[in-house]
Amino acid sequence: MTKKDFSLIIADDHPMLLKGLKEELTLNNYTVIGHAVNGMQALELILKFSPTIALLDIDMPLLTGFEVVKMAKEKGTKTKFIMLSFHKEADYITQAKTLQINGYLLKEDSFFEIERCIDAVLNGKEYFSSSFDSGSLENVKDEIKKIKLLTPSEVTILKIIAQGRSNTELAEVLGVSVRTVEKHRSNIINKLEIQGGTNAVTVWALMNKGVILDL
Amino acid sequence: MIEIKDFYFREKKYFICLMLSVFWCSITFSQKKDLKESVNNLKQKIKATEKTEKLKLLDSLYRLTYEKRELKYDSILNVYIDYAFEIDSTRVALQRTSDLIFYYANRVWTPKKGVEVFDAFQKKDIVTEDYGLLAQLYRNGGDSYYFSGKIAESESLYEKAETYALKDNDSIAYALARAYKSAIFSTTGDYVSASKILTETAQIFQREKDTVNLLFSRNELATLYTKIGFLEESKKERDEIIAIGNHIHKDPSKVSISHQSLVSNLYNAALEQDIAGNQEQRIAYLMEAYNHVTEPNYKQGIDPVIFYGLLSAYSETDSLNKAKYFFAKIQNRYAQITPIPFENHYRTALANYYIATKDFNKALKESKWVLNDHKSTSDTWGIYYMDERLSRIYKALGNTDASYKHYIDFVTLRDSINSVKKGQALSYYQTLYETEKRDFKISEQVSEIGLLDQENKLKNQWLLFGGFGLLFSFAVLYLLRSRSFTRKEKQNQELFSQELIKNQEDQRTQVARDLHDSVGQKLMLLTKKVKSFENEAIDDLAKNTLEELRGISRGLYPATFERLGITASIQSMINEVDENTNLFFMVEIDNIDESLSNQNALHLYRIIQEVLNNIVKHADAKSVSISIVKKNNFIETEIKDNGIGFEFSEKLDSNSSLGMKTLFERAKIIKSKLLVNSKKDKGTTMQLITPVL
Repeated sequence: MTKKDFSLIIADDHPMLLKGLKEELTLNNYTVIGHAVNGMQALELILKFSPTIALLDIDMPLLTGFEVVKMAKEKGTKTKFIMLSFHKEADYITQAKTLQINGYLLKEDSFFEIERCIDAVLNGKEYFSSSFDSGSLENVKDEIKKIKLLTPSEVTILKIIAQGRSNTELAEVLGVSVRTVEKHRSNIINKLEIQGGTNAVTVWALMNKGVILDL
Repeated sequence: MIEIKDFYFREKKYFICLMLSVFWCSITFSQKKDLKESVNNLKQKIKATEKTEKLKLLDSLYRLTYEKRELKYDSILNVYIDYAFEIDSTRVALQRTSDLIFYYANRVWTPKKGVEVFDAFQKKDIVTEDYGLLAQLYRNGGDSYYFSGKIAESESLYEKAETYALKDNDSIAYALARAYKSAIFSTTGDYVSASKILTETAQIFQREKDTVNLLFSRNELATLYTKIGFLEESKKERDEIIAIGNHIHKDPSKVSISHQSLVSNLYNAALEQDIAGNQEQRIAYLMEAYNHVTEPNYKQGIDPVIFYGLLSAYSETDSLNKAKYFFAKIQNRYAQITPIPFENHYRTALANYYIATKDFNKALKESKWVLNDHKSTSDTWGIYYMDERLSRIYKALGNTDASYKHYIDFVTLRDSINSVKKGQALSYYQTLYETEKRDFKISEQVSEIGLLDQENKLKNQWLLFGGFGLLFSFAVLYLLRSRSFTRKEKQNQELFSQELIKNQEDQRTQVARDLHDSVGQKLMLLTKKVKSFENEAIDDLAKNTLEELRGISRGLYPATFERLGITASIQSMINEVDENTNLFFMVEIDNIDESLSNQNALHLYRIIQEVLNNIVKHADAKSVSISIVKKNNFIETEIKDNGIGFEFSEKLDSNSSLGMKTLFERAKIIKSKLLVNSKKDKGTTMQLITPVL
């Protein structure tokens, strides 16, 4: 698919960024069929032109980028979405993933990264800004990458479990009750989508001991 | 007939000398010769003796001749007195002086001689502390002056007698002096004062059980009523006195007292009935008196007067038979005596009898005698009485001119007496009325003063009460005001700090937004551009600058807040703390995104942030459990750590815990109930109940 074969719309309430992005894209032969300065405008453009990809800022007047995505998807749009944001918080990424948004970039990311992201999205893949990458998890299986979903406390538990300690020992070390530990274990099982009984977490932790202890 | 006024005065003296008069009356005519001889014998003896012996003999002579004119009682007394002074028996001399003055003033009706004796006594300037004797002397001196017509002088003498009686502690003597003084008021027309004094003295005599003088006082009072013309009151008084007299009469030992009182009062009562024109009553009174004077133990010697009175009464009522009976009796009993006892009365009675028997020439002779006698003593009443008789006698004799002349005199006197009587009655009433009015006024004023006092007291009480009430209500008001003021102040302060917090929050948000919108955007653009230079050092610098900006911005305002909602923001915050500390977190958070307004959510976020900050900084805890549970109407947030805890009250009170104070203020802003439960080494639990929108 060449660059002429798909269309783009961009939305950002910040005129300087919007202008810069548009110029960069046009200069690199991308077809930008529309640009919006607020969420509402962006939604209209998406629904009207059904662009292949929409590059949306999150912080926009009237509708936020997430809201635009949500509403457009509710209208059954086929447009794919890339968020272009100032925010680096993990929760934004979590939110983006929940909305099945295909790409998430930071505004300071280089145009090269934008192109990579567009390519990935066009090929039906997800692309998240390289700024989010944690080196240790880069080359592990997707299954293990789910560790990212765990809270730091859960990771702590996982690490201790990987050391082969019992629930009682765990409770002692953390200064909490055994019940609390068990609760955490079940939370971890849910998040990592591990199959099996109560000992499944222990088994899983021991299996991936190397990765876990590196975290 | 006798004139009332004169008779009263004499009668008064009869009372006083009651006991003495016994002598006079007890002496019978047959003893007369022997008496004279005894007197002469004594006189001889006296000439022969000296000193004490002589005085003794003089005293005997004095007793022998007591109040006997014919035995020259007065000259004997004079000798006695002179000799007593001579041998310095002052007391005896003074006693006899008093006797002499009394004799002159009250017995032989020569008050001017009494005045002479009294003046002589005063000139002697005798110093004595025998106040009883002095009281007697001055009283008798007062009598002398009074009967001499020197009323003003007599008043001062009676007052001196009063003073001496008081000094002597002799209430009877005092009352007597006052009773005598009342006669002055009576003469000068001040009947109210007179009657007051007499009533008062009567009370004294009654208290002292001095029946003689009590009856005397009441007799005076009755006489006083008659003078004013109050015959009914007078009769009432008389009847009472007579009743008392009759009562006393039952006691044989007091027969002389009862006789004295009864006879005088019955006689006076008869006189008053005559004036009132009630002849029947007049005769009844006289007959009662007659019964007394004819009793064998009667010794007062007033009996002739009663016989004369009866003769007059029967003559005037045309009971000739009875009149003749008494005429005969009088001729037998008294006409032979020289001088005829109460000659004045005797001749008056004869005149009346002769008029009744139409023996007018005899009547004329007697009447003339009586008229002259009255004229000699200026007795108006007597003259008036005789003028009427003479007018009738002359008319019967055919001497019209003389009859007319006496008639005119009679009418003139009658009119003047009547007008005097009327005037007296009027002045009595007037004085009485004025006195009563004054008394009433005084009592009214007293009661008014009392009332005023009461009112004042009440007013004062009210004032005091009101004052206290006012003070109290002011105090209450003040306290209430100051309390409400303090409360308002506190509210204002709270409002202020809450506003401050809100403002701070707004500003933070604004700054964060500004950072993001201007510096942030440009910095991003810059970083992006830098990347194309592929200069790693500049690239890193740009990246780090942007990261720092993000950090500042996040500190100012949670970036996730607006886009992701409160739930995610709280989660994000916890994760961040979790990531950067060794604390172990146990988190259970319900979705509360739609439950709170943005502002309230921000405050809740800040509260949790502050609590977590505290835990990280101070708690030294290993684990933290956070739960946010959404219930129907409220959100229950609980953050629990297993750290060292703290004494909550200490923490809150100390000025350093601005964070804690802000925590509570924020809780108030979102109308939440914040509970902090902490004990040393037992960890801390923070509980927040937030009402849902």
